[in-house]
Amino acid sequence: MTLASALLAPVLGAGLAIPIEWVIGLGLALFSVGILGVACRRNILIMLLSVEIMLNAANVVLVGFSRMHSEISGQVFVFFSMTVAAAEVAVGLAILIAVYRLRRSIDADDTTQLREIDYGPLPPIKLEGEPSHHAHDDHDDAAEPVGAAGGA
Amino acid sequence: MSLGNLDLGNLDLGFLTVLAADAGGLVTSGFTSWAAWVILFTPLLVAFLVTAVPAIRKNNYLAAALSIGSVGLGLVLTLVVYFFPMLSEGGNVYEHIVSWVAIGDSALITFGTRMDALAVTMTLVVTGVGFAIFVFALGYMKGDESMGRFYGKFALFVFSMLGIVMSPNFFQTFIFWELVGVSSYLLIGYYWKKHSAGEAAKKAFMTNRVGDFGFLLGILMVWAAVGDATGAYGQGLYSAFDFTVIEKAIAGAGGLSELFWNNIGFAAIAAALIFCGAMGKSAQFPLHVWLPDAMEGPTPVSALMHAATMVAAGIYLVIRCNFIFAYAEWAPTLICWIGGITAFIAASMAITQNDIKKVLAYSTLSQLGYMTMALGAGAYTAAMFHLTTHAFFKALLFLCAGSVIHGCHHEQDMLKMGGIKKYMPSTHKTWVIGTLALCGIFPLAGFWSKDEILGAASSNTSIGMSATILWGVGTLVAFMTAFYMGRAWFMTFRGKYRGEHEPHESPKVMTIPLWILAIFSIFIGFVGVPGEGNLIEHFLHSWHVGGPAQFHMSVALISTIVAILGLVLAFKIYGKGTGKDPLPEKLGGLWTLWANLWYIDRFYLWLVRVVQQGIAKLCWWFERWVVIQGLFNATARGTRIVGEQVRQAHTGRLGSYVTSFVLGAVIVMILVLVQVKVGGGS
Amino acid sequence: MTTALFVIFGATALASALLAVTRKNPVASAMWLVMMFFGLAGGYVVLEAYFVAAVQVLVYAGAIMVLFLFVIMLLDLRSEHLMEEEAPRMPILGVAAAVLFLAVSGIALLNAVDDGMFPDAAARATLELDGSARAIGESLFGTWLLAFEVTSVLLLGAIFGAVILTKRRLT
Repeated sequence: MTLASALLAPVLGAGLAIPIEWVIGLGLALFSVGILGVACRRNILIMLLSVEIMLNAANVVLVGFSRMHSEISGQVFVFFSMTVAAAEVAVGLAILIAVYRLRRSIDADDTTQLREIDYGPLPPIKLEGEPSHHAHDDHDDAAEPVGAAGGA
Repeated sequence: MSLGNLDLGNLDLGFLTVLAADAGGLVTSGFTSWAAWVILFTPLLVAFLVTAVPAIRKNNYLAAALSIGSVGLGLVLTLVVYFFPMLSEGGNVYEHIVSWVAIGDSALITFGTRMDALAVTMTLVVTGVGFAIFVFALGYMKGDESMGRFYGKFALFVFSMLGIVMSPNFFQTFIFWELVGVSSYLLIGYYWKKHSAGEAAKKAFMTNRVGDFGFLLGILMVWAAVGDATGAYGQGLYSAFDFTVIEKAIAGAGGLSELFWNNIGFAAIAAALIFCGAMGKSAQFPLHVWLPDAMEGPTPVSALMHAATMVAAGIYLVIRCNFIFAYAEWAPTLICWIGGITAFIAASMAITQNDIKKVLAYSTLSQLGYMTMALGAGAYTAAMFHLTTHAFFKALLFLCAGSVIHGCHHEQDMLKMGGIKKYMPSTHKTWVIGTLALCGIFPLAGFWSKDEILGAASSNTSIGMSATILWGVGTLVAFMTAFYMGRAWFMTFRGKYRGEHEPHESPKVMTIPLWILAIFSIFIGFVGVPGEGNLIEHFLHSWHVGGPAQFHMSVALISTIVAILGLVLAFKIYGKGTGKDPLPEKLGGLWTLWANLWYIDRFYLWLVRVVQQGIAKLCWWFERWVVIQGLFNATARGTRIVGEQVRQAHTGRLGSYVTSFVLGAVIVMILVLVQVKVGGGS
Repeated sequence: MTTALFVIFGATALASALLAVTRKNPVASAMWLVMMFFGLAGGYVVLEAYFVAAVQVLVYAGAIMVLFLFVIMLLDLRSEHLMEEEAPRMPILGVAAAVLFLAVSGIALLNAVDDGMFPDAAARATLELDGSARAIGESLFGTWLLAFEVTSVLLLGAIFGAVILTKRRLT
């Protein structure tokens, strides 16, 4: 028994008192908040923060299931998740700095270069074969068959 | 009758045994079986060499020598390997067949040569007459700088024609049928700098295509019926295309109609469709319009192809598959009448022509009509007999005409000739022999063969009254034949010369073939003298229907008398050789009708200009307004409108992408949820 | 008792997250996020995941948040510039997406509860798990050793990426 569990033993008691579904519900709610942040905010910093919230939501669920199945691997995965989060933050913030240097702005809606270039209104369609005039004279001069009037 | 119970004899076992029992003997191995390949492919090799090797093509005489050699080799081989043994031993059949295209068990196409008495006769005509004409062309084409090209195409024609003759099945026949069409096209358009020659070549080709289309349909109908009935479209080396297999199947079932799901009338349709092919190649009404125009080609070409051999291909085809026509209900009657009509209208047109080659062209049409009439009456040996004799004397006449044209410095209008007898004695003598042979004067070739046809037509009891009418038409045509041949004879050779340049006799290289053909024109008729010694009936006994041909004294007498009357009448009108033609005034409206070729060409022209152009215009309208405007342009516009709307979603903003991503995930979650709820049932 | 503690910690975390997302000032957002991390750490303790709780405080609240704040400072944005943010183009859609997600996943969760997928109180009373550093360490360096090593490669890549992105002058 570790020190922490020894200290908390009187509070916690034996087994797990908290219903697992509450833990999962907390994770889902946090994830929704993260979606809210990423979808509604335009500040890249806040968007990155929201992604962190979503990763934390996943961690909560992992810990909850780890308890439910009495399997330590779930908590180990939390560490991997944290590692990925750290890496993501490092690269994300680096990109943020690069973008800021380039545009002097951290507004996500200012960087829309990856969509197709807007050429403005397209020219009117001009297709081949528009029946504007008689392209061919259809009275092709069929040559008089040879001998049609032969001997006459 | 269910097909399951169909007893087709030994069909399913081995064809070889069945065939061997039928024929005098079936030879499928050894030199005699594949010598025909040599005869067939030597001309192709020559055609290839002449066309592909510039050194040979540019050396006119080397090209000519090769071509003449290839045909001569064919003639000698046919005589030595096939003809003489057949004469002495009887009806041997020499066959060499290889599997060509095998599509699983569903279809088999073979390629090979089959030399029986009929094929040998035809091969002799093609190579024999061809050899004489090839030699004649040496003189006629002298000075033509592209003589090499001419001989190359000529050799290609001989190859194609021999392919039809030796073909053991419908499929191969059709291929060579088309090849003959192509070589005909090439040779009619030989003087390609002349606009009319090009037009004539196209006309011949397209008219033939009309007939060939029917021919192909007929082949497929027969193939399907026979394949169904025998339960297999190909077994061993024998496929449902094979003439022998079709013949066995029809004989076994007791009629072609029995193979067609017992559907009476289909057999006649199939036979009529196959006859369509013959109608195109043999220029029968209403597909006869191309033949007179085909005279745009060099005269040796007209002589060989458009008089002696190629136009006989249709006749040959009908004889070759006579077993189909024998059970074909109304088809023979139709053929009889088409032959009669062709013979009559062609003879009437021939009377109005002033071009010496055109007269002969219409005469050819008329004679082919005779042969077709005989085919309809079931007198296959008579048709083959007339085909053979006609090949000789018509080739002779054409070569005479060529000689005259050559002598008169390429003048073809008879009104500008006259009195040539004095300048060209050999040509005159051979022309007279040819004319008399064609008119059917005893004892020349035409007398025997034409008489046999008229006799067969008059005694064709199966068509009742029509027989008498057709005999009347035939006799009338005999009179007209004599008249227009006499007209051409007297206008060209009698009186005073009306041209500008003095004519001259042709060189020996041209007159010798004339004399050879003339001798044949005199004596070839004796192979078909009615009675015990009828050589051609004996030789072609497998194709002879009914008893031996009888000598009809009345028929012979009447036709000879009308022929003499025709010649006398022609002499009365044209004998003085004044160069004036009084006939237009005397005949009046009839002359106008005949001179305008019964308005048939005009009618076709109207068909093309009004009907076909009308349909084309309708299609144009449909294409413009419905296809292009309605489908393509509307599709383009619709795509663009949708695209312009959809690209609004492509904002480039992160937030909107995340939103749509989440919404998509939500939809997937809903779907999974619903599926668990509904499908899981828990 | 423990349930009440979890509710308190969870509510704190959720409220902090909402506040963090809705603040205009990124510095305030970051502060509220720190609050959320602490709330979650408390929750982990109640769930007897002690080591995870400790690392949560150390790594997230300590390292990652410091990185965020450091970058905010580095950018040297004036506060008014930082807060200059126009309203999003389609806020309704974003909110709708979040609410819809919550609703659908909530329904799924309630379904799972109805189906008895989660252990009840009696079953939970028998659940024992040692969430100490020793237990996690044994698992991490035993069963998951390879994944652990691969993680180092990921971090190395992240370091390279961050350095190259910030060092190179972009024009």
